Amino acid sequence: MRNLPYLLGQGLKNILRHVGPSIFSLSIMIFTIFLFDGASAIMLNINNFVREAEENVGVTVFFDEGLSEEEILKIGEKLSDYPDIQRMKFTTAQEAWENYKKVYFAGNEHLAEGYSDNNPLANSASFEIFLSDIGKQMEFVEYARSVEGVRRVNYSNVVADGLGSVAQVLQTGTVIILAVLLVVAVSLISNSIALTISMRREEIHIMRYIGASNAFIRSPLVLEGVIIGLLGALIPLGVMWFGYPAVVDHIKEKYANLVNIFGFITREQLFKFIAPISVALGVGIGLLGSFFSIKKHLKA
Amino acid sequence: MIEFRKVSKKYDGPNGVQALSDLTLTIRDGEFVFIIGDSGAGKSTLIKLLMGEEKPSEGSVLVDGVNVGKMTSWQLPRYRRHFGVIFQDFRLLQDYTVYDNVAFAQRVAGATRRGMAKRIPKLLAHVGLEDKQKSFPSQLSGGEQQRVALARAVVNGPQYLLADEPTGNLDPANSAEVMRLLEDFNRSGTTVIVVTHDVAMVNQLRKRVVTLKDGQVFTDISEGGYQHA
Repeated sequence: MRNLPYLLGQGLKNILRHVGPSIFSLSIMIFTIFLFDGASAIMLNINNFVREAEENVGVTVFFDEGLSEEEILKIGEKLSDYPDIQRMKFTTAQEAWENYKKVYFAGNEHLAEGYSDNNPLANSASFEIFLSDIGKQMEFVEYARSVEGVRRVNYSNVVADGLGSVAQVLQTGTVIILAVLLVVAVSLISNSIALTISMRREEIHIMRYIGASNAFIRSPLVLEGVIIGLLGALIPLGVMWFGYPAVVDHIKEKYANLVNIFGFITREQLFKFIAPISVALGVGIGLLGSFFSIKKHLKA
Repeated sequence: MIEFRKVSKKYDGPNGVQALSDLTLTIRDGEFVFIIGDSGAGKSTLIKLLMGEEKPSEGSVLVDGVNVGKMTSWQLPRYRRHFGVIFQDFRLLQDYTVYDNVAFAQRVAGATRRGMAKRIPKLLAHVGLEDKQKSFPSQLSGGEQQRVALARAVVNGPQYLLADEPTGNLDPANSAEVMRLLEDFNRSGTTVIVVTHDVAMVNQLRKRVVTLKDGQVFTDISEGGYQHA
């Protein structure tokens, strides 16, 4: 512990002894972790969109003509047997007509007066059903269609299917690219440390002869890897800290319509996820790189 | 006490050299011993075995009763702190000052900064380098560099001082100065083992001389001179 400042200094010195390979390793680290951060930002936002969709996009079930409200409510009870229902909202035919009037006769309410005794939407009583898992939407639609008395089921699978498949492709692609980059990053850091070992071979030999412990000899090498890893995590996190709000603002400006439907996660929410993982990833890659190099090039 | 008991060492590989054969040698505490012999006689292997850098193929190397060949890599560093070592080519860290080269050995042993500041200037004064503390090795003569190496070797107060051809790169005056310092440390209780080819020095100092030949002790004479094996 007493030697920690000295050993840290040695770790930094090692990096500066071969600036070129160190910068190369650092660049790959930055790229790897930036990719992780960026993919996480997209994924977390997609998850957020899906969650909001789950809360706001429901399935609407209409019933056979001529059914009484009592009969419709009974069918509603049957629908509610489906296990993944979060909430159900019943709209009577009268309410449906009132809502329609509000939207389509706004400012010209007198035009609707001709329908006062004859509800043109008499058969439009409906249940709007919100699922707790949007992935089960199609299964529920099939179930609802099978219930007797159900005339039509309205739903939108654009959101669920679209976002779901985008997230899937992105996730798989990112995992593959990340896995490749992780291996590259570990091997580059390992090479960078191997270079230090070869440049310091004489010094390490002297250290051994004067009784330096294995920990004392290895610590600067491990710290070299950890410093590169940590910098490789902090730099992309810095870029994300300033870049993420700018990108979100740009999207909000350019795609105002989309943004009105879906909300983006905040920078703080994003960092709660990516900051600890990025740092752990950086330090982990650094440790792993130095571990391999020490094991291969530095015999005890 | 250092004991080589029937030690043999054959290096691995298809052309593995038999460096030591059934060698037995005892060096008591406080002795000053020259180890001489032609190239390939086994002098370097002797040092490597003593420092735990190599393990004997047969026999055992005991230091204060502890079998060096059986030590784990975790035990060796602490064991090596009983030794101070100097080499023919000095092996100083070129980007460290004289002070830092000596401090390096103390740091390795876990000394405090205050402890170093107290001990190192005194020691450098003892070896005649008090005004060179901030110099780098490249700014020093060979004799001065060897004295820095000597200061580094003794800074932690080792029980044994091992010198591998310490005068090999020095002129007679500097060689004499290094030998004088080695004798000086020996008088204060450190066991000194000098591996050398320096005929004049061996003949002049009249210490115990062990001559190796073909990996065995050829002669072992107290107060001897240089024997050509």
